[in-house]
Amino acid sequence: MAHKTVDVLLVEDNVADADLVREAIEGGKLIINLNVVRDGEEAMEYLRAQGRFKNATRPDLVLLDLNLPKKDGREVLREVKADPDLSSIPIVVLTTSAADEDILHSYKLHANAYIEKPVEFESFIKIVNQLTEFWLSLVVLPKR
Amino acid sequence: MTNEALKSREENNQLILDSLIDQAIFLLDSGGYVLSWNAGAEKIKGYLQSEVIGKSFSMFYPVDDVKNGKPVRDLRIAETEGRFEEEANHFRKDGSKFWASVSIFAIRDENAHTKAFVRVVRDISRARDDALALTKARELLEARVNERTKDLLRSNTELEQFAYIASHDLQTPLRHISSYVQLLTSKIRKTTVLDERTEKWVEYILSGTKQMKSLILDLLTYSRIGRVDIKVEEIDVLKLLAHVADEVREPIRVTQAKIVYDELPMIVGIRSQIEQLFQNLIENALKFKKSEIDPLVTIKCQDHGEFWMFSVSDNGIGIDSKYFERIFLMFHRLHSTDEYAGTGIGLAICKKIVEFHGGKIWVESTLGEGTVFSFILPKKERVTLTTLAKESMEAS
Repeated sequence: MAHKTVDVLLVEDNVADADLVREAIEGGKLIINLNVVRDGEEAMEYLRAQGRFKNATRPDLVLLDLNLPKKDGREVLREVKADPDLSSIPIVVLTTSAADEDILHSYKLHANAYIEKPVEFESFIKIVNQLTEFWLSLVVLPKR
Repeated sequence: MTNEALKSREENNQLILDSLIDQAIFLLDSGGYVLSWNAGAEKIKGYLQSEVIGKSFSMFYPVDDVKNGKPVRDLRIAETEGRFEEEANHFRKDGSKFWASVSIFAIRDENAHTKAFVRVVRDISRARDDALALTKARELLEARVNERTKDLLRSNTELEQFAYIASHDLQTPLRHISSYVQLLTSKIRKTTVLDERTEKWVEYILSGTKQMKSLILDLLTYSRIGRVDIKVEEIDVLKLLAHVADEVREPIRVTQAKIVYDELPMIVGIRSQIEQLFQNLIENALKFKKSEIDPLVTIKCQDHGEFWMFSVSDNGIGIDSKYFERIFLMFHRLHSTDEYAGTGIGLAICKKIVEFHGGKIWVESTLGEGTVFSFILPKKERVTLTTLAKESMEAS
């Protein structure tokens, strides 16, 4: 059971999709602090606590969309997992793409999981809740 | 023979020789010296009779050939084998070259000794030029076909990218509409009870988005037939149907349907398309069942020589004969969406698949009793793609 606040970083450029995640999380069992950034560059700044994200808390989990403006999700994944400081943060790719190449590529870049955004809304809510419960309640995460 | 008769025979022979104006026909003695000349020889080789009589026939050969002893060799071949034939470059008096067909025949005496040769030369430059032009034209045509095929393949790839992205990007806003309408109604229901009419409106919106999603996916499927996945293979229809029945097991369970088939052959075709074909027909049979009667779908196959003829029959609501042609057209539906779900593309997809394989599909039906969909598929692969296109697609 999580007693402290859990921080999740969502990297998603589409506002409507980001709000859906927020809705799903708020309806769930866990108390989650959700932060949203809009593109790959902001994501890296946030994770490194640089620039306007100077006071950012290191997230317990990152939900990453692949198709992002500026720096795309694949680049973010590669950079984070190559950085010894950041590589231990679990990254779950949450994207609309069902392409085999994207799936394989993501796992090759050491994504912790790959989830295809479902079109059905109920499925989406269920998945987000299952996701967060698994990563933030069931598994043991490294201390920050 | 009298002198007069002889003279007239000689004149006749000369007349014959001179009429053969496209052939140089002349006599050589056993040493290769020119004994006679005809009008054709004058025309083809450009020499007058007075310029050649008594001269060696090697004067007609290129200098290098003479150095190599070719003229003598040619005569020797004619002597031993009776004839010599070749095609080669020859020169006219003015030095111009022409492509010649040369024959040398040996004339033997009673003791089988060669006493003279007949040499026949034909100018076949025209024929050779025509042959070369034909080859060149054919190469040009093939090059053009290859270019066009490459263009076609490129635009196919672009079309596929377009179709995929369009369907993908169209589904995102659809997802948003669907999700947020559900969120909205959940929120409102927390504080207000929605009356029946309002609930109906919400249902209309949501089923509208579901309908659009089906349409987008069906259009994508339709556009892909013949563009993507064109690997032709041998298909065991029995195994394929078992797979299809598995895909459709929910509707089968819900309608308590029975799908019946006996012996079915091995056919040649594109597996994913044939699966789609049978699946669409079976799904339709289940969908358009009579309300109180469990659907019974019978699949048969008849050997028709070069074709297999398949039939998928049901005991459903049937189709009015005046719609027999129309139902295969895209978006043509005979019932509204609330009566029967669907996009109206299923049968258009079936038709495209069957025709892509080189076959035909048609329907017979009696309203209120049932329907039979029949289609023929050629036994030998007759998929309508050029070999080059197929090879390129398989390579990529």
